Amino acid sequence: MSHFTTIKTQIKDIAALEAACKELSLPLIQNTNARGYAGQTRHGDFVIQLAGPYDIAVNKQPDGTFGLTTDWWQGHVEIQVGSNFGKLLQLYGVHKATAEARKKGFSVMRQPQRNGSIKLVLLGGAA
Amino acid sequence: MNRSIEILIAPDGTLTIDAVGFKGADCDQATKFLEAALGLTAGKQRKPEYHQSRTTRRQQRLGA
Repeated sequence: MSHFTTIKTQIKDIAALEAACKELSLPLIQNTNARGYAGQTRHGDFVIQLAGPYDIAVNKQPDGTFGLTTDWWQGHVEIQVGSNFGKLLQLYGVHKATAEARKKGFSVMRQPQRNGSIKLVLLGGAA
Repeated sequence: MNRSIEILIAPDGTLTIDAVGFKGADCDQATKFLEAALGLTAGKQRKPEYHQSRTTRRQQRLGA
């Protein structure tokens, strides 16, 4: 029997999360319910809709960051966003870092690495 | 030396920020905005260049 598991993340920027979801071709819907095991649903300030039977609920935490909650049962979610939301967090990091760097006047180059990591090289920028 | 900031984002979402070509505490200054935005609290590893901003003389007394 499965249940919702909340994994704490450092997601603070919904625009960056939206960009990450877009890159993964996943809709990010505001203020709706996420599907879970056995017809359970959980409300999310935002919900990332996945192709499988379960969605990811995104909710604001007391500390101001957004937490991701989903049902990991049978690997439906893992196959789309990686274990522990790895793929999603990686792209969130890429988009958030890129946006912040550009604000400071850096040019940003993205270099995918062989081991699955993504490298960003920031050049220029104000002192 | 050319300065750049390199960010390596692992498949599990963890980030490593590397300030390349900076001397002294400039590297901390340069990457501060990224750390604040991404919410990193992990430790830092100082590279040799960090210690190059000034020369220090140290004397050691060995033995009894």
